[in-house]
Amino acid sequence: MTQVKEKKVGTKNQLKRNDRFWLGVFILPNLFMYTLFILIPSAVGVLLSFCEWNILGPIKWVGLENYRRLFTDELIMPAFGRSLQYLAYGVIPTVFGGFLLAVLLNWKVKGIGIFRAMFFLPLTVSSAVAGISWSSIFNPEAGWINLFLKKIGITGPQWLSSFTWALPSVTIIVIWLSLPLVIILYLAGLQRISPEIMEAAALDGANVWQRIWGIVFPCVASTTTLVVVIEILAFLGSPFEISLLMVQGGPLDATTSLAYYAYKVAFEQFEIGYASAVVMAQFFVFLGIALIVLRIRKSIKARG
Amino acid sequence: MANGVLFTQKRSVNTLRYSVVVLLALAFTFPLLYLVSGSLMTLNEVTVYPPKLLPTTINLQNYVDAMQVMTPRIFGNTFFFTFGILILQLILSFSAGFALAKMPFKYAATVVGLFAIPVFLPTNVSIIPLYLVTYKLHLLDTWGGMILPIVGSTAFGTLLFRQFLVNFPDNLVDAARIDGASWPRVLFQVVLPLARPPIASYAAVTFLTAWNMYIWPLMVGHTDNLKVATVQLAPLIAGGVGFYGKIPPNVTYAAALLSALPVTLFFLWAQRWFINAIAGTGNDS
Repeated sequence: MTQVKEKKVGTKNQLKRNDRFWLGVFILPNLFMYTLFILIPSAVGVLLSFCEWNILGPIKWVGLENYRRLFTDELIMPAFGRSLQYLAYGVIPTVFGGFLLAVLLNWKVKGIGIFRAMFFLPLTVSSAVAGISWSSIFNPEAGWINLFLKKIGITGPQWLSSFTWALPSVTIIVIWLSLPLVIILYLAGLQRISPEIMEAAALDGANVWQRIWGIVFPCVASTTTLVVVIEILAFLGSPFEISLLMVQGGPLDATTSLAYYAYKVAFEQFEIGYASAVVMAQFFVFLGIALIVLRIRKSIKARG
Repeated sequence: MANGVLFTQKRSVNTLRYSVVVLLALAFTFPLLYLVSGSLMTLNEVTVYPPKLLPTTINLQNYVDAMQVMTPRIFGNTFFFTFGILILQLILSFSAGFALAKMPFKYAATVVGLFAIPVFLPTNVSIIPLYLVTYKLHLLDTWGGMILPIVGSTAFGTLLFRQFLVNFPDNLVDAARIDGASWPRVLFQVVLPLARPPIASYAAVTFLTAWNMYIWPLMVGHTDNLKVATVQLAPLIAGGVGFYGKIPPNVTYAAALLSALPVTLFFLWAQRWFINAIAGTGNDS
């Protein structure tokens, strides 16, 4: 044992020329690609937000002009509002729904593997496939939701072609696509709760619902923080893809999020500088929300 | 098991819970189940009002027709795209993860910190500048432009492998070094054979992500010889209100299922590795 330890210290000091050569071979190609395609684009994005550029012409430094424009742009506030709507309608149902489904599926019983796998399935599906399968659900006349609503005497809305309902429809699809990951994370969290806690929970006389929220939910608090942050990122990003695929941001921009708006400014209006400023604005929104989440988490922790 | 205690062990409660699980699972997968069912219907059956849940006969002709959309070429492209990313990124991430874990050097902590940056960036944030970099490198509409920029996001893999290899027994590495093995030999013959669990997890996550990628291949590869499955399928959605252009819905459904088939089969087979990767354990236990 001691001998091995000694030798280990030996190797540590021994990073000689030959070792450094191999260190370079192992790390530098990775660092090169990572720098070229992640770090540089991120930095370029920040720099371009201070510039004016239409891809073909020269790049012109304009200082804070793009950021000033954010405040006068009549299209950006609605896009910002819609991003917040995606977050508000999407994150909470996904987190709580995912938690409840995980509790339900955290059960050693015959056949449960099949049902778990069914809940994981949307994970394997691309946005394009999701779009195709959900069109048959949301079709205003022959779609399954409206057919069902008609059975119980309600006239369903036009869903994706309705100005009011398009955004909730896109949100539903993103929730469906996001739930598997949340369920998996919560299932892992639930496995880590010690049986003693659960036994104590069973003895204190509360009903199942109270036990789930009063005892089990606090036990997976760290998973919840992780899931909330992941889902904020998901609902800032993913509605863009679904909206682009299914309704191209419409009807009348009703599903155009901040991310989609930036894409439009960049690739339809070719205003790369301003688009970069929109992206930066979105980044700061995320940062702000993430800080609030962590603050709430801290204060809950401090209270008990 | 904790769960048995949470719910009462009464038979009636268990039956209720089981029914809830079954019903929710069916409702949750309904969009996909109907896709399967609709892909087997005739054109009349799939467009009739009120719609039908099940086909009267199994109509496999749709899948033959769908092969006109999901051509072997499209499948070939998608496989090439996916495995190109998977293999290149694996080589880069694994070797760097190994070096960061087992070859102590001065700036190791800084480099690890560098790889943690993307954790704080929302998806698609850098897609505009990434496109511009790809454009400046003259890689638009080339396989290099499709694959290499995605390969560049090595952070997840590098950190995953580093985490696993930090806990990898030092004495195995040291023993091999004392025996005179070169670093590449240590990497390939000592570490690699014992690192199957994190490699499997990494591969499962990357395969799924790359196969289903849409925006990037849409922006960079519009020519036919670069088209992947998602880009080929996207125009068939058409507004989500049921206009399918020249391709009827039953064939569209079949094409969608064909495109999802490899990745779904793979997922069902590799489920455990995938779950290990996102549940953060990354090891086989």
